Amino acid sequence: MKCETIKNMMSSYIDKDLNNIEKAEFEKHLAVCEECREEYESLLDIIAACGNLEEIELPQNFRTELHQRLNEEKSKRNFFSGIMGSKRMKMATGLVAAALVIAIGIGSSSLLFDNSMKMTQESAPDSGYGAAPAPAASPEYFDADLAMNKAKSREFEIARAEERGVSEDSVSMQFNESLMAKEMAPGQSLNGQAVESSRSGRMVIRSGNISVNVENVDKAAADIRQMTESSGGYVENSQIDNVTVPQVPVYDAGPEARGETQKYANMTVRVPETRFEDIFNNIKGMGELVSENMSGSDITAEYRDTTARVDNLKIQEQSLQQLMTKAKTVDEILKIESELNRVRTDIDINTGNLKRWDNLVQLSTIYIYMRELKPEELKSVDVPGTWEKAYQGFIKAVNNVVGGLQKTLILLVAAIPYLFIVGVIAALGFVIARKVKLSKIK
Amino acid sequence: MSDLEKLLIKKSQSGDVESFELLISSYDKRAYNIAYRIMGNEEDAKDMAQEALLRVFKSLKDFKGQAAFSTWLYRIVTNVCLDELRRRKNEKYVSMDSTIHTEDGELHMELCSEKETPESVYDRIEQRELIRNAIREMSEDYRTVIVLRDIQGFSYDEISGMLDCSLGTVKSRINRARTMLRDKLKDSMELSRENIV
Repeated sequence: MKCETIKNMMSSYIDKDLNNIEKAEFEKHLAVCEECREEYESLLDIIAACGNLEEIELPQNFRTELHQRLNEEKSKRNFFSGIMGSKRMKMATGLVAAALVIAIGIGSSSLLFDNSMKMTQESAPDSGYGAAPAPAASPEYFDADLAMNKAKSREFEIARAEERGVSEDSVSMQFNESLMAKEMAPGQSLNGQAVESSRSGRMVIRSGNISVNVENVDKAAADIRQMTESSGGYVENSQIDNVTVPQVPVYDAGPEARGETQKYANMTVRVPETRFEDIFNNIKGMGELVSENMSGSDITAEYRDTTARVDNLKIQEQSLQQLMTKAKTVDEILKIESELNRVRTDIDINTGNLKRWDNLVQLSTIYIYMRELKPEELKSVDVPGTWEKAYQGFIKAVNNVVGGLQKTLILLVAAIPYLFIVGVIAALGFVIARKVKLSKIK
Repeated sequence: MSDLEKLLIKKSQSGDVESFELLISSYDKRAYNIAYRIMGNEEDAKDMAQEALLRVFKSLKDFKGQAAFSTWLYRIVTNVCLDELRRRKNEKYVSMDSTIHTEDGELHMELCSEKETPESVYDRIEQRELIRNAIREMSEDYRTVIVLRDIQGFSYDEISGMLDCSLGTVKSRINRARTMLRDKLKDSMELSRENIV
């Protein structure tokens, strides 16, 4: 074995990290090679000396100083959580929210009368769930189904969350969601201007998953197809299976349900971003919802980077073209040509990416999974539906209460000038009456 | 990990300073020593060790128990030290450790050589001092593995966990570091002999 290999093994040998064969070979070499033995011994010495280096004691004030810093850190942490969790802060946010309600209430009071007719009509079929009478809703009104897509309802959500005693965290979460929806708005146009508009707005790729049990898979699939195509989207993938496996019992589905054929459908549809929520909710309403989720991934940063890269590459391309006109020898021309080729390929790849992103942002994806159930089975598993209704009823009731409060506040604030005048008149009247009375006594 | 340690970690995660102090009481000296060997002086060692322990306290909530707590803690210590050294290098700080310390040593030798016989001077220069200086002069990466392996005696596995690199890298780095250290010591011994003569 060469000395070089042995030298590489020394550390491992010292740390007993060699297998038996290597170890034997190492020892054999050391017995014959003086140079390596010397080196090995000097290494051993050094390692022993390192181990002998004295351990130094902690400085005297080390722990007390650390204690202080730790406490500072802790109080810093408490300060933040204290502010967020304190009752005073909650009251303050409550007040701010109330002020916002008043401001927006007054601002939209003119709209309120225009829209109240329509909105009452819309909410009429559902009014049975609500405890309070149907509200004269303002346009920004909170709707349980569209909870997260109305950016404008942000202030109301905060106010409402405040009243329901929801923690600070979830408020900010809702806030972010609606903020996202708002920022996204500029990118929603489907007129091919997405590249321009996206420079200011956010690029969000949205997608949703729905799993529903329906009465008739074929009909539902046809409906979805029709809905998608009429919205300007398309069906990317659609598959319907007829399976004759023994059916998994669903909740309390009777034994007669077993061993029958069952239809499943898997569909992937692409719909314009602007109609995404709409269609998502429509599909949800086609049968009994098993699960749903929506997600959005923000690609704004990557998009901007890529756009910038493309811009740079184009500049590079131009200067290369200019250079080309100056090229004299064949060699030069070839070199520039190959560089130009590379730049152009890069441009193609990057613009390709941009186009793909545009497409993804403009057309949201919905993945649908449907299962066919018989009508009686659908009824027997109506439990989530009931809860859903109860939940919606609850939201409606909260809405009504808030709406009522809001109206009262608006009325009160609006009436301030009248109240003032009435008050002044009453005070005057009172004073005069007293004077008259006094003069009569006299 | 002992049950007590788990409990202390849990309490520390919720911000209990006393539990945290108890938790690190068995590690802080070693953390300080690691920092001392990597940084090369007591003042920096203290700053870095405290900074690292503070960081441990802050990021304890992210500690999921993937590795032993001690490994995780020492990893933060080495990282804090190495980050600081890199930062200084970038800011073109005049580094206190290597050059000045060696000059110091040489100056010391010359002063003595006027008064004392060469032999006694040579005896006075402790092997320890030489090693300490040699370690200081090494590049951070090699210094760190020497500190962790040969001074602190951590196993290869522990070191690979602390430095977040593969076992193979650790092995070859330790091997290189030791060879380098030996070469450096050979040089400095010859140098001190030359100075003396």
